[in-house]
Order: sequence, then C-alpha cells, then structure tokens
Amino acid sequence: MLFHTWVFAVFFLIVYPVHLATRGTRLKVPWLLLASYVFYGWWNPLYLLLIVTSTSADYLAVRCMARSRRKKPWVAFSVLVNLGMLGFFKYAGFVAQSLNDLFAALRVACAVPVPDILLPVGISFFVFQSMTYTIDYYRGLIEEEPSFIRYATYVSLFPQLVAGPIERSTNLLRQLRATPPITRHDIADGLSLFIVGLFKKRALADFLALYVDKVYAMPDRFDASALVLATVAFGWQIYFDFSGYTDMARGIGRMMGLRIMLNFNNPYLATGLGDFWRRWHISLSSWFRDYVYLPLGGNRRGEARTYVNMAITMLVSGLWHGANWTFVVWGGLHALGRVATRRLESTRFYTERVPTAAKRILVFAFVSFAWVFFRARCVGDAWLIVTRIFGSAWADPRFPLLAVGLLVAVWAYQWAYESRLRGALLGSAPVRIGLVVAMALYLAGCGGAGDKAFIYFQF
Amino acid sequence: MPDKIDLRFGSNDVRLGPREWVVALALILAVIGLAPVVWPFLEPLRLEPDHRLPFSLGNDYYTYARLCRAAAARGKTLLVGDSVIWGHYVPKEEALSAQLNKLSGAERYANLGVDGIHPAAMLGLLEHHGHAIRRRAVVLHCNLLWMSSRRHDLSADKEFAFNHPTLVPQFSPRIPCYKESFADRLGIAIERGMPFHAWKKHLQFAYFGGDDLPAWTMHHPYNCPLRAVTLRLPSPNEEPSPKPDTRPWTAQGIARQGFAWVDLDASLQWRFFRETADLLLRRGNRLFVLVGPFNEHMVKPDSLAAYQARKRAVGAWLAERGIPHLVAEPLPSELYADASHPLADGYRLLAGRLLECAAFRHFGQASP
Repeated sequence: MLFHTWVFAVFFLIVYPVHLATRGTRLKVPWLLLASYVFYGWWNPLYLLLIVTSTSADYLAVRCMARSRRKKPWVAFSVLVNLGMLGFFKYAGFVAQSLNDLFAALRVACAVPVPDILLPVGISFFVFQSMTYTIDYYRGLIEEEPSFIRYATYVSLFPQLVAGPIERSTNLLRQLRATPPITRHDIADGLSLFIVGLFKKRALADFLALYVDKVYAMPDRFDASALVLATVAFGWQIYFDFSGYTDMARGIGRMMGLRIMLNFNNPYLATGLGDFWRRWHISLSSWFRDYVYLPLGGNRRGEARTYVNMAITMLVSGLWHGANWTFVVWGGLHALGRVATRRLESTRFYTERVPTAAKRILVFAFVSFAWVFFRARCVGDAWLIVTRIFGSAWADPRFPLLAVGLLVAVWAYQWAYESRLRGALLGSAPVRIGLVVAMALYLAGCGGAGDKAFIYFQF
Repeated sequence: MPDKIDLRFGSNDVRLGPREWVVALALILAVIGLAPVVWPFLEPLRLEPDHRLPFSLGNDYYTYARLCRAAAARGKTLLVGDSVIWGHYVPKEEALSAQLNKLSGAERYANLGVDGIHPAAMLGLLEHHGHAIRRRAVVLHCNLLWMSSRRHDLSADKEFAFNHPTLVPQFSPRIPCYKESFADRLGIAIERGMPFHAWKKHLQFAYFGGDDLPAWTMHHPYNCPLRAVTLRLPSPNEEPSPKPDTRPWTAQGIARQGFAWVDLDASLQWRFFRETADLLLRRGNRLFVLVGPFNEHMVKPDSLAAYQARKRAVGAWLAERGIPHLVAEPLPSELYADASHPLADGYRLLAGRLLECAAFRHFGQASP
C-alpha cells in the first residue's frame, strides 16, 4: 500500500477517524497495531510472520534481561534473530552467487545452490528499529516496555514501517504511552508535510525516473552527456523519492499526533562529506554511528583506528542498502571520500577560504559520481558508464527542459530556505498558499501515470 | 546518543496554518471543479451534422460527453454502439447515421458510436459519461460479434488487454480475464467519477498523443507543453490508425470462420448489453435496438446455426421487453469489410432497410 494511491487514501479515511475517537482510550494502541498490520499485510500477509517474529524475539529478550543478571546472552539472541532473518532474506542469494562466481574464477568445480527468496518489503527498516530497543535496554538507556501490544505497535507503526525513518524507542515508544492532544495545527502541519512529500515523489522523482530508467537500462547506447545528466537526475530522483516518502510519513504521523524524526535536511546543500551524512538519511546515519561506529571505538582510539572505523561503517552502510557489489563499491567510495576529506574539512582554509557554493558543488559532484554505482545494475555496467562519461562524445542528451526547470526551481528554493531569503520567501501567507495550490494543481493535472513504488522499498 | 533525535518540523517545507489551508483547499477545489466546466468555452467542438468522434479521441470520454450534450441539445436521434455505428471502414459521410440523414433528407441522426467499444464498456460509458442523452431517442446497436468467443465475451480466464478497461465494472460482476489489482480497480472506480480526471485525460488524448505530461516531455524534450495545447481538436474525418483495408472481405483473402459462440445465458457481454438497454430505459430514453447485420456469409455452416439461434433469442428478448427493434437480415456478401462491418454501400442498404422498417418509422415519428 503506497501513500500516493487511492487505496491508501481509503485506508487512512477509515483508520484516522477511529484513531481520533480512540486515542484517549485503551483502544488507541491496539487500533494502531491492527491498522499497521493490515497496512503491512497488504503486500503479502505472510510478511507478518517476520515482523511478529522480530517483535516477539526482542520483546522476550528485554523481558528476560530484566529478570536476569546476565544480559549479554539475551542481547546476542536479539541481534542473532534479527540479523539472521535479514541475512537469510536479503543476503543468502547474494552470498551464494558470490561464492559461485569465486569458484568459477578459481576454476573450482563446485556450485552452491542460489536460493530464490523474495525480499520482504521494509525488512531492513523494522529489524533495525526493533533491535535498537534491546540494545538501548542493554545499555541502560531505556526502561522495559511492559505492554507487548505497545511494543509491537512501535515496531510496526504504519507511517514509517516500510522505509523509515528508523525511529528510536526513546522517541516513539514514549509517544505511544502518552496521549498528546491533536490540534488543528497538527492536522494543518501534517497536510503541509504530506503535500510537499507527495509533490517530491509524484511530480519530481517519478518524472526524473523516466529519463534515468531509460538511460541506465542500456548505458551502452548513450553517450557522455546523457549519462552525466541521467546520473545527476538519479541523485535528485532518489532524494525526492526517499525524502518525499519521509515527508509523507512524518505528515501522516503529525496528523495522528506523533512526532516522527527528521530524516533529510537538504543534503545537496552540504559543504562537506561529513556534513552530507549528517543531512542524508539521518536516522540510518545516526543508527550506524550509535550502533556500529561508536561501539567500534569511534574516534577514541587514535587517528588510524578512527579512519578504519569510518571505513567499516560506510562499507556496512553500503551493504545494508542492497545485496549487490555495486552497493559495496558505493559504500567504499564514500568511505574513501570521508577518509580523504575528514582532515581537510576541518582546516581553516576549507572552512573560511573556499566559497560555500564551490564546496556544495564539489560535494554534489562526488556524491553524484558515487550514485553511478548505486544505480547501475552491476559493477560492469557502472564501470561502463564511468568509462563512457570520460571517453565518449557529448551529443544532444534530449533531457526534458521541463525537468530542468523543476530541478532548478527546487534547488533555488532549497538555497533560499537555508539563506536569509527564507523569511522573505516563506513569511508571506499568499506566497505559501500559492506554492501549495501550485503543487496540488500540478499533481492533479500533470502528474504521471502509474503508481511507481518507492526506491527504498527494495532495501 | 538517541536523545539527539531531530524533531524539527521540516527542512524545506511549505507550512500552512489551519486557516491558510482552508483558503488553499477552496482554491484547489474551485480550479478542479471549474476547469472541466469552463474548458468547453475555450476549446470549440467542431460539430458537423452527424457528430462523429475523432478516431484518436476514441478513449476521450470527456469529449464523448460533450458530443452527447451537443447532440442531445440539437434534439437528434442518437446512434449508439461500437465501430459498426462509428464506421470503421468508411469516411464519416458514409457511416450509418450519415446514410440515414441522406435518405431521410434531414439531419436528424447523430453518430455516437465509439470505435472498439464493447457492451461492457458501453455500459460504463453511458453510465458515467452519457448523462446528457437521458430522455432522448436512442438507436442502440447490438453486435453479436462480442459473443463469438469467450475471449470476445471477456469470460475467458486468461488475462489479456481489452479495449476501454477503465469503463468496465471494476468489482461486480467479476470479469474473469480482467486481473487488475484491487488497488488499481479502486483507483479507477474513484477517478471515473471525477469530471476533472476525464478532462485531464482529454488533454492527454487531444494534445499529448495519449501520454501524460512527463512521458510526453521524454518524446518532446525541448517543446513547450503549453504550446501543444492548440485548442483545436482533431478532425472527425481523420482515418483510423492503422489504415483499414476498405476492400470487401472476399477480396482481402479472409477465409470463412467457425465461431465458438458463447451461450447467451452465460454470456457476459449479452448481460452487459441488457443492462445498457435497462439503463437507457430507466433514464427515460426512447429506445430502438438494431441487431446486426452480421456477415453470415463469412460464418462456416456448422457455426451459422448457432449464430442464428442466438440472433433469434436476442430478438425474442427484445420483443418480450417491448423494445422496438430490427434484427437485420444479412447484406450481400460483397458489402462487408469483415465479420460485422459493412462498407459504404452496405451502410446505404442498411439505412434503407431501417427506414422501411415499420417499427423504426414509428420510433422515428415519435422522436422529437
């Protein structure tokens, strides 16, 4: 069930009034859980078994930790169950195929059967979200949640279930325990977030996808100009697609009286790679920081170890995105980038002398280059694209001017949003109303056909 | 640690307050509500005597509704049906409505046929886009070709792409070969009740080659979409694409065929035809039904008897309901282009037979 479909509209029109009616009662959480399971089971009811397994294992682990002196085996149990499930459904085929490729390269007469397993939607998100509960409890950061229903609702809450943000129990469980008032300002704010997210997804991401998909499906048929434009377009597509989803999720949450965390903060305005990762998929970046980078030692064990820890974290982050060597290379490129620029970014020269616009363009160029590996079907395709970008002629790319216009308008808006112009731009009610009306009418009249799924659903 | 969660409102939001939302929603609803109503004042409908829908607008139900309104306003007798009424193999001036106009010496018949439409879709078309013709005189064509196989009848289990899927019933009765997801059916059911959606699709068919705006820009990357909206609709005389072979079926080398006729009792398309007739009667339309004329010369003897039995059963049902009708005798073989479409001379002959038919004359005399 996608946010931008009629079926979700009907679903929400049923769920929301009941939520408003029950939110002050004991039925609030069970109703949210039921709605969330219907939402998730809509893809495939069998997926519910996975989310129930993950939820039950972590709830049980914390209960046992609370009643036992030895906590470590229970946190290990939780991590094993969750990562085991993720490993089986997401990486088993990849590992088997990689082993077969290795055997073939070494001319070893051995073949591992490659399982054909359908990746359940959102598994990478809810598994991570559920694990934070056991790990945070183990670290003594949170209390045990006595209600299984409430805990299950925290893991499966439908607005952010399938593509995040990956919430922490400290934020979301606390809100599920309380009954914050839902004011008309919450509803207005929720609608404001939702319309922007919907515009990002339907008007921008799906539009750019038409060009990107065409070029990346047959990169050998396109020359440098088209490949460069498709790569830049993909950078914007994935941003609009994913941040659009997040905005819609946050908007729905807001209307339901829930504050879901910010996940994107204008990442293409970043002035350094470190800054980029503080702005891009914030909930995942901070998850890896808190549960991988810091446990590895962070920056507390000397400079060399810091770089190693950063590189490991980026590689794991790459692999989290998908079971393909392209994602490993993408993570590796960002690891290299971070290692190479970490010191530079803290110098006075970089912070004071290099113009902000130049820094933003450099970061955007590097991130776009890395997207080649993220988007390509395989490493071979990615390499072909890179070599053609630098080695083929520049001809008419036939990139739609309308898409250029929309991109320039959005980028200019983001620059203005982070500048002193923001007050002038958004301080005026007629301007804001005009923007919302323009977005809504563009969506109603010019939006593309089809219900294209979100890119991050595949992760 | 986790307490650093960023709960700011947004990073590039456009935040409206409750009152501002009321204003914005009012503006949005006003535009969405008014656009389909105001548009006809900007885009003239080139009405010729018998109103035929341009071929490329065969899926443009907004224009069809406009044609219905125009024809109804002029008090015409409306010929409703598939490509046999539309006149797939003939120019507009040779189609059945035009021949009736010529022979009767008055411009009183309008062509409201749609190329490629079948009874299931016709029901949806009239239900959702044909309100304007209520209480008018309607000649409804019954083409038994749609019951000539389980595939034509839409009762085959195997999925295939058929014409006008957004017009057919989405949930009930179940159409076995229609396998859209529940979500898509729901979307279709909701959107076809929205005049704005029909208007949006009209713009796509009339000016963007049937594509939505993003897809159109992929084919015309440097063109201004606003300039594409010329406000000039395609000509009703434009030829079908691909161009049909207008020779008689025998000259085209088409062999005689054995059809696997579906029993009327089990036929979906027959059920939808009956529901269409009922809908028109409920809406106060004066109804005349023209059955055929099917090209019986093209039917192998073993399936001809089955066809004729169904033809008789259709006639009996119409008689039982008191619906005036003509079960047309087959035209001469050389006047057919294929199994059901007459050529120009065939339409002329058919028009003559209709005008000679007492029930039709009575129907015509009572028509406004």
